[in-house]
Amino acid sequence: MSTVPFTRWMRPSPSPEQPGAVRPQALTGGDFSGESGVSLTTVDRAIGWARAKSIWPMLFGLACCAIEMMAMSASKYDVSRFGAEVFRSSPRQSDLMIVAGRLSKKMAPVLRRLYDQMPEPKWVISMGACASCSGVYNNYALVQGVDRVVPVDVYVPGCPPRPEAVIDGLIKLQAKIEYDRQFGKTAERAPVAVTA
Amino acid sequence: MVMLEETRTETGRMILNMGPQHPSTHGVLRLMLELDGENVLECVPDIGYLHTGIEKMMEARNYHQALVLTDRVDYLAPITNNLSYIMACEKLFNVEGKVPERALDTRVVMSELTRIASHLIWLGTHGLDLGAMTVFMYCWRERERVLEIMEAISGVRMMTSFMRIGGLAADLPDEFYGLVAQFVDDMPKKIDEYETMLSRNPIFVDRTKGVGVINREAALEYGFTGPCLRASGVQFDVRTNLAYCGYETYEFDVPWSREGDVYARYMVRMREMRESVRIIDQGLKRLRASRGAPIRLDDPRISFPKREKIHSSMESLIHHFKLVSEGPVPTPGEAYAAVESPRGEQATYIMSDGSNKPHRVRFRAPSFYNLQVLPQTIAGGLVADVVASIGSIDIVLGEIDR
Amino acid sequence: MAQTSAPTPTTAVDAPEPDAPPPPPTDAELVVARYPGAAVPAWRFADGIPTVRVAPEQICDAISWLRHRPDGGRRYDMLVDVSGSHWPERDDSHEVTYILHALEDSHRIRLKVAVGGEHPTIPSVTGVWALANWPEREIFDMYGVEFSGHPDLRRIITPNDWEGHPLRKDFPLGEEPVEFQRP
Repeated sequence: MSTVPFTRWMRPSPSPEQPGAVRPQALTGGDFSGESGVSLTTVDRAIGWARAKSIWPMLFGLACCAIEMMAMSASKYDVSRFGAEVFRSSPRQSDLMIVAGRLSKKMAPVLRRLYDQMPEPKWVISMGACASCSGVYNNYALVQGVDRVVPVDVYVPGCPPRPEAVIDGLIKLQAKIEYDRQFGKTAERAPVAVTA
Repeated sequence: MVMLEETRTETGRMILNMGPQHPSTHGVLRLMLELDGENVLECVPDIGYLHTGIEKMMEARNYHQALVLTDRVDYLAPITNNLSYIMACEKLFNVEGKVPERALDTRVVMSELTRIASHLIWLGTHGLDLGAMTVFMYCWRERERVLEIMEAISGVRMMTSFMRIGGLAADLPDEFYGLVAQFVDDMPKKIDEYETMLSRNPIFVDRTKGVGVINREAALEYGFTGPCLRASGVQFDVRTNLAYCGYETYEFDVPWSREGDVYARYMVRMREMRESVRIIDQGLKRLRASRGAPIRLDDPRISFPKREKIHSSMESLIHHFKLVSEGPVPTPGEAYAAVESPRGEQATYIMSDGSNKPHRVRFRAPSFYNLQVLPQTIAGGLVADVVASIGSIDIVLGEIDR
Repeated sequence: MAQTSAPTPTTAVDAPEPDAPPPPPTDAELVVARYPGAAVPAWRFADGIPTVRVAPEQICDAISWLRHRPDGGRRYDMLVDVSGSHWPERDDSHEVTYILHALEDSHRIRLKVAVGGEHPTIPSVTGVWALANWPEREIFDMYGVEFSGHPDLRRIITPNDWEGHPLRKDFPLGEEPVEFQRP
């Protein structure tokens, strides 16, 4: 099949400064990944494109990073440009959980329960230093990184990260969503880190 | 079907969990509400979902390092946390009256900028809870301007940690004066804009007038401080009653009200924003006049020696090394320093046993005491009033749970 | 060799006038006089707030007296803070501090209570001032000090099934060793 209905595809390619990174890069039409057959790849990419460009985040602001997350959704760093405008509070209606803030041991079961309540496909962005690795707080009260409780797709460092850094994480997640096999198991995905 | 019948035959009451993840609880607060239909009979808050062990961590850091942790306690107004911690340290180190004027004026201006930023978040989220989404967008637009000023001063938008024992970390940049002057000019018109949208809006007034009333006696009994206390008729403001950082030399009013309902708290905070603009204006004039003045006390126990001396003198090098590795060491004692945060009286209570690390650091968090009053405000109201009350008390879970 | 020495005062400039009345006792002195065993602790209070240490069984009466002042003196209308601390080298190792504030002239006073032993217990102040409810729960949670007469003494900040009292000095910080690996 040489005629491809979609002419602009996004495929990850390593960048020189981050060899393991996922970066969007436009391709010419007619390029196939050859992984799962021709026609399934087309559907795959179409669904991936649709899923990536209309992510619905769940409101999971825990602490200070929640304020920068709200700033990201406000008018100066408008995240609705990237399709992620609708912050749903219900996990049943969202597909991205941005864990923004420090996760205490009392809150960890709640986090896991909310993650389990989200329908597939779902992704997790760990926003901030406290969510990624408990930040400045290496003590008895915090879970040392949210990835001990839920699988994380993108880590965004910062204390708190600038809204632009979180949007960068979102863009990398979008590229990752498009690249991932849409009908594969979620456990196969590998996480990506944003360099500040 | 069986379950419904059972509840009907029993008492018809339901226990509803407004869980730790909820858009209107302003953080990870869990409320257990006992409902009779739409009426709230009882409300039991459950906190601790953001417990970070900050107080324990500060006992393992020296006095300079512990400053960084204080930003994260009340993360909507980080400067006030820094300020109360630094003021308590200055009392402990006996340098309280020796802080340079320029540093005091900058502290006042930054505190008031933070107060405006925090009240903007309060207004935006409170409006959003009650259905006014435009207010949210407008408030965050102004907040970005305050964060721009903070970034120009310290390089960081939120967690600045800009104070040091005896003064400030660095002098103010040149862009500061222009940015703040522009902000002071524009802000009163923006506050007028918010008032146009809300103050006489019949929906807002219906949802807030007469809701969540706390009278003067209950406010003092249950521990209100800050705008909530002033809205209930008690004229107590740490800036005027226990003046610090030169607040007694500034001209400003402290708004208060007698009604004690959600609308009164809203009006008190709106007027406070206007008064803050007045204070910033006066502070800016003083800062313009004192350009070039020292911003940090030159006390060898707490301040680093000058760069040039470190490179040439062995004693200065060792002095610098001791201050970085061991940190400043006070004599044993304790000090309690209170500031007026946007939520109420925020204080740091430091106890020192004579070592380089604090023995005990306690944060008197205003939201911890304000939240205790919540069940009194809600009793007998509707579920929708719960949302209005929580927003009007303006809590920050970071300082409640620490 | 002129030696400059301070001139001997011919009039006592520091002593008060002989026929002036003595200054009225401060509230701290009144509290010390009222409760046997109460004293001003020998400690440096760098913030200038007058402090009195009272015995645990006297604390409810002391706070109630300071709040209502049946003798007509300055009333302390606000209980500002209730906090705890742990000094393991002392006999009465757990210390609870109450800070009160008077609205009429913004005076503050601080009361301290110290208890020790296996099960340190202090009478709860919630009967006198309802706002002490949550701070006392927090001190129980963080230090293990029990408050007799508290309506609802249970953990407030740590999880409900937590063991141990985190702010005690013998409770470890709980740091986890962090591996920094070269990529």
